[in-house]
Amino acid sequence: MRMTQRFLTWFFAALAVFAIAGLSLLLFAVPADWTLKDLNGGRFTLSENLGRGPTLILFWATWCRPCKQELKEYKSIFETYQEKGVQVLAISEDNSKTQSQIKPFIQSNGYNFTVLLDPTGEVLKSYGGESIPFTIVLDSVGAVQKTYRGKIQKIDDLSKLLEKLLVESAGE
Amino acid sequence: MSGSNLLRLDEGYEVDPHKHAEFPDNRAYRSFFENRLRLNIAYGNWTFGGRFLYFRPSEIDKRFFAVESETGLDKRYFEAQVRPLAIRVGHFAEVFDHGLTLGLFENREIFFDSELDGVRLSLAQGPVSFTALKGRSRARAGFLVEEEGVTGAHAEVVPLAGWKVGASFVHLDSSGYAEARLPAVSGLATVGPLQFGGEFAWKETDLGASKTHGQACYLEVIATSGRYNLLINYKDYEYRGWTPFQNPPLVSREIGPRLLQNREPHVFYPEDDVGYQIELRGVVLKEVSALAHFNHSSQHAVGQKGIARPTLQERNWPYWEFFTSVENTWPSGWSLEFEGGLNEEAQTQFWYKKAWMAADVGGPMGQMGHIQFGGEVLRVHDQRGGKEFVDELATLGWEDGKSLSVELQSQWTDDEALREREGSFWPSAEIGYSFGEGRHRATLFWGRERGGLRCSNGFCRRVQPFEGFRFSLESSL
Repeated sequence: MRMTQRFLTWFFAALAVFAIAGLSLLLFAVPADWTLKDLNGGRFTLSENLGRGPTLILFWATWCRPCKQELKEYKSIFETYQEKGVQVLAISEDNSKTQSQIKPFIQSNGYNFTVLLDPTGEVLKSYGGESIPFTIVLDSVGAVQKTYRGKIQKIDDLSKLLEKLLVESAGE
Repeated sequence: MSGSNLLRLDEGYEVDPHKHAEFPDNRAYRSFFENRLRLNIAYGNWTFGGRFLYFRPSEIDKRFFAVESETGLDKRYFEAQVRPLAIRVGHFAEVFDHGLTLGLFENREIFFDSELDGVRLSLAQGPVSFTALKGRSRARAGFLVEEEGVTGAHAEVVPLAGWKVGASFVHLDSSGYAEARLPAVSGLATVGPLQFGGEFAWKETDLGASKTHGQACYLEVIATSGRYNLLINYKDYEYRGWTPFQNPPLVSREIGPRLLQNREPHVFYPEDDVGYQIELRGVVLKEVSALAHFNHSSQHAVGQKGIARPTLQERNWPYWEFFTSVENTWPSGWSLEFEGGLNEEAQTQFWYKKAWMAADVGGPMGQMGHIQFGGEVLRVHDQRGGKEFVDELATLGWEDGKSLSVELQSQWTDDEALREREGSFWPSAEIGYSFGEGRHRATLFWGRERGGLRCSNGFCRRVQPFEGFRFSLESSL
């Protein structure tokens, strides 16, 4: 009897928590916001850089071979969309051990994306990333539209999505 | 709301390090299961997050590493952002500058977690930013970190882009390690194509009636000219009581070709380490980029005068590495990567000289996806044993350009001592499949895998050779 009571108490308590959380999500849920440092010591806050079009975020690191392959393979595609108005952010997961490698790698390969530092992995985790490469596409208000785990394989799908988001943001 | 789930499962056999028998009679059954469910819920400027862990290590993990089964909410936090302030209560990681005083992180693959449970306050206003924190690390059975109270603060000013001055202070209470204080100063200056950066930290540790004084210094210079880039780093770490909460730069390469990773890779030990690295990279022809790297480090030599520098004396555990790599990408999308290198390291247990070559070639095949071939050869000279052996590796990978990838790999060696411990031939196949609009990725490994040291940020675990199935499923929720 006592066990049943305890079970029912826990069951209804859990139900109440889920109901409140669900309702709150419907009413108040907003896209995540964050601030990271760039390679020159400056700060970049996502919410201050939204509203001009979609954002493509590439999580990578200097020690991650598939990440570097992806950057190299799709460089011209990323640059084309950057020129069209897509904000391309390359967020490095290098920590203090390997951070000195980032700038030489970016400069020598001629990448002109905005490079940000996430040494603790908090931003990666906030989007549900567990490993890299990890890529997400945000709309103009910062809501996640697409997630790629591992190397991007369907690059045509990514292009179509970015085109669609560019048209939508131009109409806003 | 955002979240993720990671499931890992191993079923097969692994070598039991306590079993005195030749391979394959030294194996034991391995059954490993881990599930990590992470959820983040944002309400306006507030975020709640947590991770539910279900962890069932193998019997060897329990006996060899002393880790224990775990079920429950092992991470949770609440974060509020009211610009320019942000406050986080619960679990957090943090890095102050180059990590000489504080660099916290978690890596469950090597059973390491130095994250704190406490409060972190951050302020960022104009060119000034400030972080203060107080928390406790968690001592878990088998993990490499003791419970410790950590208090710290870091401030920095960025007067101009490319210029920065900073200061940090960290205090460790005496619960898990000796009580210590670590102040530090740091700076960054950019003058035309040159960038100078560095950090200097002091460490004062209480040892009952006496105190020890250690220090750590890290310097970097980056010079850029067109598409050429020169990086020079210097380190001089002598903490005299280093703890896992300090995480300074390596000043060497941590992850190289796969065969090197399996054959006693260099282990970074910041308690006593001095060295430098020089790396030149650039685009030498239109489609060809090249890199040349050299690093040299050792323990401090007794009686050395002037600026501390590494030696080649065997008693100082010297390590040096030289490698060069070339990458060529053709307009068709096919690419070739080649690396050749040499290194040498003397430790208490071994003194190896190694030479290697690694090549990868791959590219698109029209509608048939993308194909990749790889090969590595590593020649190892055991200086003390007077022996020489060769490890080899070949890979064939294919991606369908949509959702499926396959990699076949084989490694083999002529090292007789290794054959007795873990065999001499390691074939494997790995299939990866993405589904649900790329929100889920499943990976299935089947075959044999070499053991060896797995390192992350200088912390290493000796992983046992494995044979069987490994399944992982990573999902966005």
